[in-house]
Amino acid sequence: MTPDALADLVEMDGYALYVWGSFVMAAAIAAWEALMLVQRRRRALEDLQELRRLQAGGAGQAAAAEADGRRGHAA
Amino acid sequence: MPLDWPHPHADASVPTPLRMYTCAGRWLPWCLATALASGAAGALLGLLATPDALPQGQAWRIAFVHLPAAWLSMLLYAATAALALAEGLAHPPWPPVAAMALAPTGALMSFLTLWSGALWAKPLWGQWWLWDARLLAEALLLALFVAFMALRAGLAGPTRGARAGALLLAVGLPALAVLVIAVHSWNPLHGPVPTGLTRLPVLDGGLRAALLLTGLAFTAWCGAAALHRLRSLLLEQEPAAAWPQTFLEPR
Repeated sequence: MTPDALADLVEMDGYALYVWGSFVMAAAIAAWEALMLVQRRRRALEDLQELRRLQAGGAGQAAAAEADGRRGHAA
Repeated sequence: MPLDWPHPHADASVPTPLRMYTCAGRWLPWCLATALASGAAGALLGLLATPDALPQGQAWRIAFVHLPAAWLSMLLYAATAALALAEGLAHPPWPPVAAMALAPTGALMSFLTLWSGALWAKPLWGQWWLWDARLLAEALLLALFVAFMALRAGLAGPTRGARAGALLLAVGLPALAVLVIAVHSWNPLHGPVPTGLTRLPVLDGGLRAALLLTGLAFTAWCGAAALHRLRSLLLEQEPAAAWPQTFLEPR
């Protein structure tokens, strides 16, 4: 594409604000939505990891309490 | 609150959360690839079309954004309302997340329709806005999308929110009907613009192809976004279930 043709494409016969305003908004919406989607998935996975840690911690505490109870009976 | 969604090992025809999650994951890359490829091809074709071939000069290029966004806003509203009604009133065997997966994308398409429509109307007809049926109906769809999302986010418990949200979207179905009818009738703001598939043949072949490609790109993008959001919603809805754990990284 020649520089003149590129300049004509950018200028859009004076309609640049309206045409590129539409294209840029469409691209911005797609980018923003993609960012929101990635963040939402990351947050969901982090919450599940945290829940797994808490459940593992709770299971560990329950096992430790049971072990203490057996030691108490044995003593 | 435990949810008694079907057991993961239920009948193969039952859409369990795990099956929905994995099925959405299989379709997602194809939708995304289609969106990127057809979008690139449509944009290239649309931008290279000469001004002589354009019905209203350079400003008509806005159609490559406005027409797909408008079509998708209507399609997504109908789909969101249908899914919301199914989830809210019929209690299907899946968590009530499908309508919530579509709603944000539909709202964005409605907004883009109104934005690009205003940018198209101003240079050609001297007005950003006109109080006519088509614009009012589109604005009402946007308002209802936003209200639906706010309602579902605010109400505690998936069941109550699903029912209330379904009834809210049902209120907007007459507006959708008005919008569809107004698209095919004479409108004082719009000139002789091909607004339906039946009117596409009046366009030059290259423009027609560009419009179809950008339409496909928008549709595939909305599909990819909805599938990705659905997967996240399913993970959020099922924190206590065993199946999400299989998708976490090993400790």
